[in-house]
Amino acid sequence: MIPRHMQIAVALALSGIFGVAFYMLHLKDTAHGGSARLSSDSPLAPPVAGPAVPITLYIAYDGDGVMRKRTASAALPSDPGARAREVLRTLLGEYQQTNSSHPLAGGSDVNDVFVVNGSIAVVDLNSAFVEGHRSGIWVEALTIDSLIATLAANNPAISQVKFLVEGKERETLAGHADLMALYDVAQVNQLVRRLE
Amino acid sequence: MMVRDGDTTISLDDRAVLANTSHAAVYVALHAGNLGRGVKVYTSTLSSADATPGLFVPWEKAQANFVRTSELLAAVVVDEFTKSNSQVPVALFPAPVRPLNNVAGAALAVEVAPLRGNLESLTNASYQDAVAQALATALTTVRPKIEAAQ
Repeated sequence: MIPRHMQIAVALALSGIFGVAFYMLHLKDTAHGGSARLSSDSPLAPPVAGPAVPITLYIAYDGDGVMRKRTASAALPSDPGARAREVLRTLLGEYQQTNSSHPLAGGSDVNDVFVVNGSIAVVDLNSAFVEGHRSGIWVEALTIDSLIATLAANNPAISQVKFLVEGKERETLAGHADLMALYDVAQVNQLVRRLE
Repeated sequence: MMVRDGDTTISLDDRAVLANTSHAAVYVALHAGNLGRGVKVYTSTLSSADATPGLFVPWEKAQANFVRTSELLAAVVVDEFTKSNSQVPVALFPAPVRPLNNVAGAALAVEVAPLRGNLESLTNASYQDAVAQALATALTTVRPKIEAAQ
């Protein structure tokens, strides 16, 4: 015969265990929902408000192997890094349209651009950008040159550009073009002029 | 020597190490591509101004001391394609191709694209022969010039 006080103690302990278990499951569901929201493709920040201003894009044309300057418009924030990111996102928007002259994979994006000392731009690409990029020296070089020329055209103070992928260094874009290098804008612009 | 003769993975750094430790006179990275037409020849984006004097040079600028010989090599390769009457379009560009910057010697990359837009031409024996012939002749021609320059 189990004493009555023991029965009460066991019942309290069991209800406590079940209570804590239910609470932990609730916490787990909440955390899972939060991380799912973070990993979705939807933008994390609201689009930039304000009047659209003209920007210069250097668009690569695979068929002709040339680079052409084009004017577009975009609403730009005041911070240099955020401005540079919006400029590059406008360029990537062109490349992700149907019938693009230089198609990039869907979901290709620029996570961030950091402007260091006013002259070095550090561009953080997302993983979809590199994982979906076509492989080849020419196609990869066109992408790199287009990004750099566009960045520099809209911020002439930028003299060097470095690429990261998801915040880390990566050896190449898609097996060929160097992503470890610190690119010199003047050199790239020289090549872009040859391709215009 | 061939850096690889099968479908094996050798890191880009290891390819440069192999070329450097074997003291290769010339390093040629041969690629197939599906964009554009004909042959594109690429040299390093480094310039002579990046050259470092002394015994120890930065890995990422090892090519800087050999920019001139690489340009000479590239010019001879382009010239050979032009005069070989092979009907293969050829163009020369500087490009950021790994591991050119890490090679301590004359180095270039060659990307062979379809001849007339059709991908099947890449496997065409006469096209491949024309490319191989032009490259081999260029390397034979340029070797004494590179040795004299060094």
